This record gives sequence, structure tokens and C-alpha cells, in this order.
Amino acid sequence: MMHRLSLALLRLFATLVPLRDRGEWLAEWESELQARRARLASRQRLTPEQELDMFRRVLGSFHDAAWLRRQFTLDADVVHDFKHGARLLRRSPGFTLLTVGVLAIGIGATTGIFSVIDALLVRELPYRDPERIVLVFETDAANRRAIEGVAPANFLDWHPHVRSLEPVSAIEPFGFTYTEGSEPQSMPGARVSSGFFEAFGVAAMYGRTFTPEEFTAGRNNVVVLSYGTWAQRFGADPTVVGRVVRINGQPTTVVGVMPPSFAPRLMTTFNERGVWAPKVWAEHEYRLRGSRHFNAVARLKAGFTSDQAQSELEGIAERLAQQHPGANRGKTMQLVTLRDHLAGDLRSSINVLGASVLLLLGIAIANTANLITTRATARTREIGVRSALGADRGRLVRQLLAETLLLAGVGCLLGLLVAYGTARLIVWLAPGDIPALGSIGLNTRVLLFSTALTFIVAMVTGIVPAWRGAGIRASEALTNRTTGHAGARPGGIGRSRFAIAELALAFVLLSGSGLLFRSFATLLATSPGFAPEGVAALQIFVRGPSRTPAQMAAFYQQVIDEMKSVPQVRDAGAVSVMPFLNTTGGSSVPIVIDGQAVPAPGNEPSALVTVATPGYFPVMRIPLVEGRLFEGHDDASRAPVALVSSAFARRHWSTGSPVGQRIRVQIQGNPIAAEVIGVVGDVRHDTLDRPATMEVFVPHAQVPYSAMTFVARTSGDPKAALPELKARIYLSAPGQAVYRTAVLQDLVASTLHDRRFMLTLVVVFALVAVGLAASGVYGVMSLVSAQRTREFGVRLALGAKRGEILRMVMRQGVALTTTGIAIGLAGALVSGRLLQRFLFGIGSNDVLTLSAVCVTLCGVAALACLLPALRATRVSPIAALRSE
Amino acid sequence: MTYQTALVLEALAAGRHHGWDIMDATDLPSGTVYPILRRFEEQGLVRARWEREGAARREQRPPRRYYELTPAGHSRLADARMRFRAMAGLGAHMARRVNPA
Repeated sequence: MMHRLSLALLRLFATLVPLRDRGEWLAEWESELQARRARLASRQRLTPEQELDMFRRVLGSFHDAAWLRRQFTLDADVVHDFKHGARLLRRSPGFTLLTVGVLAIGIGATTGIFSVIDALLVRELPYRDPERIVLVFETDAANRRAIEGVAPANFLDWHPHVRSLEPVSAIEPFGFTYTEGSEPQSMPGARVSSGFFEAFGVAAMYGRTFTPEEFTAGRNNVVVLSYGTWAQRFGADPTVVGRVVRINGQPTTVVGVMPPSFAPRLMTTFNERGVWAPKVWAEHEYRLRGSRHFNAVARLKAGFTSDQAQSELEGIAERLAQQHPGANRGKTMQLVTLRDHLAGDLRSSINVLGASVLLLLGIAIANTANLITTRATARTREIGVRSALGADRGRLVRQLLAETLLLAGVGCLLGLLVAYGTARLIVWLAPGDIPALGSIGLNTRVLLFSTALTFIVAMVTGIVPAWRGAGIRASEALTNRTTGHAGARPGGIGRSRFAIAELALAFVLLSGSGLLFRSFATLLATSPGFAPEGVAALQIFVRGPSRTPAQMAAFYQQVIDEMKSVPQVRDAGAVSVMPFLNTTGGSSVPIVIDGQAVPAPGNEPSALVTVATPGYFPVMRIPLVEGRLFEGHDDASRAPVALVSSAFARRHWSTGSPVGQRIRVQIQGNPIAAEVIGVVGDVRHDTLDRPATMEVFVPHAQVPYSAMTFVARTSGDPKAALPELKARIYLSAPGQAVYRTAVLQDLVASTLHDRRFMLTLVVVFALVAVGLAASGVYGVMSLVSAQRTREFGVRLALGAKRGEILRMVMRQGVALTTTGIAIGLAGALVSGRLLQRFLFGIGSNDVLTLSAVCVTLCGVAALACLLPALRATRVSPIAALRSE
Repeated sequence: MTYQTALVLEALAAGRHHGWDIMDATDLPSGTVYPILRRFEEQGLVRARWEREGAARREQRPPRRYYELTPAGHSRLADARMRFRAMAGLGAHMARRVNPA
């Protein structure tokens, strides 16, 4: 029993022995054990004491094995170095805390940003071969970033012929009305053409997705539910599959429920879709090219790259532009991978944030290197003694590096807290609709990243000071007695290099944040062209052929009158294209102006044609520039009238007034010739940084449009008025679902989220950077003036004024600061260009911003120099000389 | 040089050629004796080899590892004896000391 246990232990301990010696090691121990047993047993039965004695010796083999392992790996030295380092660091807690803090900030902030990059760009998407899923958009050939959805007729033209994509599916955003009992509920969803679920490669969790036959009229009364809809509206009941529910007033069969991971968020402007129905193409959609409100999702066919697919689509777009120049001239198609699409606008912010955090890391490294060099210099004598006692340079470097690694390791642990905080801050600040952000976290990849980063940082910050420190010659270190703690080596110069680097990097970061801040301030001061404060918006789609145009007009008028009777409502109106709520997309339509020469191709007048009620303009406080607004009598019984926006008027009536002129436009296929009765102020539709949209307004009473957004100006909080306003809609039209409600001020503010997000982070980074740089300057100047204590004492004893000493120290500080700022300025001029696309109203080398940054940094650096300089003037000559 | 390493040298000189026999002679634990032997081998004070099969087979056991002092080992032993005078006569005692029975 004991013997078997002994043999097992030997085999276990043998695993410690380096592989090279393991076989021999085990053979030696086994043979010794067996020889002893054989000899003892040959004389008499083994006593328990003898057994125990042998077992004790076998236990000792552990020490032998461990010893061999240490020899092999040099663990002994390394462990010793770490212990020694820890002891030294404990002895100088101030230095340790400062360094660990600086490293924690640098490593932590970088890890936090990496965790965002990981969530957005690295993590696997929950679809089959997610990298091959692509979205297709139509876009301006001249400006590829202005992506829009696809027009249905274009999609129907190209999708059967494309060779590089399969399947290809069109998605039409669609508001479903689900009626349970008497309460109609709006369910945002989409009608999808065949191949939608196949493009993602995801099967239903319960039931099935659509069969090919269900894409035909009459058989399309089926829906697939998202997990969220299923859980919220149907109580997560698995038997819902096969149930017939009332959707859009039709009995509709639920055929499937998708798994929770399936949340394809294809439309950035819409909330998550919760229900899908098969798309059956309507007759007019085969001609509809002006409205690009469909999305297209596809899968790259095996053997095709996305570049090949992109060039194929561009070829198709060229043909479409030739065949249908009216809607497609100047347009092309753009392929976007699903991952890029999901990362959204954050992807471009990420570059800026990544660059900022690297600058911050650079400053943290310079700061740490500065601290460590200072310390190595202060330890000149200790190192001199060790090298006199025979420590070779490699050994000393190893030991100094072990110290740095310890510092960085502790810094990394604290940094994880900083990283967690940074990631939370990002999630909190980030614009709401970035799906990938939900899964941010400190996972294995992030931890590996921060470990690797820590190691690199330790090496970068430690290697130069360690090499230089370890190179100190013993004789030099031991004979040099000029100061109490520092050698005569001009360490000050090396360290001021670190401080200069910190100042330069901080300058770049600060000027970047200054530019972003100025842009943001300019944007905040930019008027959207209307007054969003106190305005509530409610969007509805009136469905069904049940209303004639006159009835439609009367219905809207009735609801508006109802709304006006709500106590807190001052005025109400309705509009077809609501700024900041509907994206206008490419829905500009051609306009013909009577009496003007036929314009050159490409220069034809075009504008967004918006249907509005008379109340829309006063509610929004869109100013009347000229002429008159719509009035109650501008109805179907009178001659058609129109309003134009200032931008449109300026562009097409550069001389003279448009009032009284006639324009012709097609609305929903009907040609209308209208007299311009007035000019109104410009309105921005999408974001504050895009120019105002050219717009032509027609009165709702003359063009009764079915999908309108009500606007109401309230005297109090518009959010509080929303339930009452909704109730008035239900009152006038029982069964009419409200598709979306919003407070206009929130809508406008939400377009600034991206910028606010990036600005906040960059400003935080910049402030930390300035703090670090200031501490770097302070550290160098303190040391320099401490080193010159004796000199100052002599000068003072010989009659120098204290003011002169102050000037001497400050002069040194100013030289350092101006060098840092000059380098930083050059860096800022280069890096500013990277920010160009985020700037608004200013250039990347904005003089005001750069001068403000100069002044700020000079001030901070001057303060950091002033304290050591003042201390130098307070040197007592007697004390300074006596200390020798 | 420590007293323990001197003891191991003395044991080798007294004709103890196997790890466990050296433990018997010196009363040192196995976790001390083996690292000392390995360091001696590295420093060239000791030569180690495996016993011939035949001797082992006669005693019905596997061959053992055999350690013996090199000339350098003997001169190191002389140093040790100079340093630890109390060791004088220890070798003879070790040679006499019987194996555990």
C-alpha cells in the first residue's frame, strides 16, 4: 500500500522535473526505493517504521524535483527579483502609489476602449457565417456616405440578375396593428421578401419561417414573431405557433418564433422590429423608384468577395441610371457588411477615441518612465554597491525590470477598475441605437489584451531607465558625493525629454478636444429652423381604402380640432415629413417652374414635397418670409397653392419674388400645378450639421395624404400631454394605432448624441492628460531644483537675490514648456486633419482653439514650475552648505 | 561551502556511492542530499553513472545511479576538512556505520 503510494507520488513529482531529465530522475528514485525494499525484505519482514522512513524519503523527492525545475527555469532568480522589488516598493509608498495610479489610468482607459472595440468589431455575431452577410444601399455616387434604402422598382429590377449574392431579400419597414380585445396596439415590424431568414442563416426557435408559397397574395396572412414580441405580447407561450391573431384587421396565423439572438436591426431610424410578414409586391411598386424606403439584405455567394459584389452592383447601378435617369442619375449602390452596419457611426468615433486613448497611454508611459528614471538615479549608490559586489549588468537590468513589472501588474489590476468604469461610461453616453454595445464587458479577450498591454508598458517604461541605471559604474557611483541622492549624470536632460513628450502629447489631445468642443458649441447654437421646445409629435398611418380624399382631409382636421381642445395644447397641426422624425432619404422629386428656361441636365429643380396643414407652421414657429401661409380656405374647392422654402426660392428665383409664380410637381402619381403663395424659413430635416432641405409645401386639404404626423405645441411638458393627445386620436378613429410618439426637443438632441459621446470621452482623456503632463513637469522641475540646492545656497550666500533664483528655475521650466508646446502644435496641425469630418463650422487648424490650448498648457506648466522654483528661493544658504 | 555539502563529500569519500546510502551515512533528508549531488555533478566534483545491469540483476533490483568523487571533488574535500576541523575522523565513522537493518 505504502509502496504503491510512494511510486505514484514519484510519478507525480516527476512532472515537475524538466522533460530533458525526467526519465532518468524517475529511474533513479524508483531504483533507490526498490533497492532499499529488496535489501530490507531479504532479511526480514518490513516494519511499519521502515516503511514510514522510506515514505519520508520519497516525500523529499519533491524538493529534489522542485530544485531541478528552478535550476532549469531560473525561477529562483526571478522570484527573488520580485520579492526584492516588492520590498523596495513597499519602502517608498509615495512613488509606488503615484506610479501605480498613473499606470492604472493608462492601462485602464486603453482596456476600456478596447472592450468597446471588441464588442463592436471583434465579437462573433449570432448568425451563420456572419462575415458574409451584407446590406445593400443606394447612395450618391458623389457622396458615398449619404446612404439610403433601396427603391422597390430598382430592387425588383436588379435582384434576379445579381450573381455574387444569394439569397437577396428586400425589407419594408411596416407598422402592424395588433388588436387584442378592443385595444389596438402598434407593433413595429417589417414585410420581407423571400430569402430574408435564409440570408441570416437562422431558423425559427418554435415553428418555422415562411414557405415560398406564402409570398403570394391570399396566402400571406402569416407572421413570424421576434423573441421580444413573443415574450411581451404573448406571454412567452410556445403554443402560440399556429394560433390565429388579428393583425391589421385580418386574421393572421403565427407560424414561428425566432430565437432571442435574432435581432437584425437593419434600419437605423427605426426601433427593433418585432414581427415579420411575407412581402407580396404591389403593382405600383414595380414603378416606384423615387422612394428608397426598403432595406436589402443578402449573403455573399461562395467564391465571391465583397469587393467583387460591390463592383457588380456598381455595374448594375450604372445600367439602372441609364434606363431610369429620372430617379437614378448620379446614384450608385453601396455594399455594407452587417458588422460595419451594426457598429454604426460609432465606428468612425472609435478611430478618434482609439487615437485619443493611445495618446493618453503615451503620456502615462512617459510619466512612468520619468518617475522610474528619477528613482533609478536616486538609487545610484545602491546600484553602484551591488555592481561592486559582482552583480552583472544583465542581472541588474532584470531586477529593475522586475520592479517595473510589479508596478505595471498592480497598475493593471487597478486599471481593470478604470476599464470597467470607462466601458460603463461609454455605454451610458453612447447614442441609443448601437446594438453591439449591449454586450460590452471584460471577457477573456479583453483580459488577455490588458495583460499583454501591461507587459509591453512595463518593458517600454522600464527598459531604458533600467539599462541606464544598471550601467552606472561602481567607482563613479561611490565616489560621487556632490548630492545626497543623485549622481552627477545629467539625468535631468533625459527626464526633461519625458516631460516634453508629455506636454506635446497633451497638447495634441487638448487641441483635439478643443476642436470638438467648439464644433459642438457651434452646433448647439445652430437653429434647426423651427422651435422644438414644447412640441409633441404623434405619427399615424391611416390605412384602408375606406376614406375618400375629402374624408381623409376631414378626418385630420377633426383630430387637429380635438387636439386643440386639450387644455395644455396651444396649437396643433400635421405634416407628412416630420423633421428629425422621418428621414427624408432621397425622396426629393423633380419640380417644373413655369416661365423659366429648361435648365441644364443635372440642374433641374427638385425639392422635398411636404404636405402640411395650416397649423403646422405656427406650431413649429417656422417663420413666414414673404407672402402668406396656408389658410383654412385653401381646400379642394380652390385653386392649388404651394409654399416654398427660402433656400429653394433663393436657388431658383435669384432675382424677383417667387410669390405668384406657378410650379408643377407630381404627388403620388398625380400632377399638380400650384401657385406659390409664400416663402417660409429653411428647416433642417436630418441633423443640425447638414444644410437645410429644399422644400415645397402643399396644403393637406388639397392633397390629403394618409400618413401624417401630428404636432402640438403645449404650454407645459409635452411628454405629459402625449397620453391625452393619443386619446383624442382614438376618440376620432377607434382602432387607429399611433405608430410613434416623440418630443421634438428630444429628437433634435438625439442627433447630437454621437458628438456628445465622443466629445465627453475626449475631454475626459484630455483633462487627465493635462494633469499627467503637469505632474511630469512638476516632477522634473522639483528634481532639478533639488539637485541645484547647494548651488542656490552658494549663490544666495554670495549675494544673489531670491528673485534671480526664481528666474533661473523658471527659465529652465519655460524652455521645457515651449519645446513641448512647439512639438505639440506641429502634432496638432497634423492630427487635426483626422478630425476633419467631425468638425462643424471651424477648420482643423482653428487659430482660436490652438491659441486657447497654448495658453492653457502654458498656464498649467507655469504653475507646475512655480512651486519648485519658489521652494528653490527658500533655500537657506547655511543649511544648503552644511548638508555636505 | 556549507557543513551539509562537506558531509556529503565526506560520505562519498567513505565509499557511499548511492543517494540513499549517503542519506543513511549523513542523516540528511533526501530533499537536501539530492540537490547537493546534482550541484556537485554540475561543478565537476562528482561523476555519476548507472550501475551495470549484471550486478543489479544478481540482487534482483533495477540498476542504481552510482556517484563517485572526481579529483576535483577530492581536493574540495581537503578544503572542507581544513574548514570544518570537527569533521576529522568522521569519514572513518561513516565508513563503519552500518546500513539500517
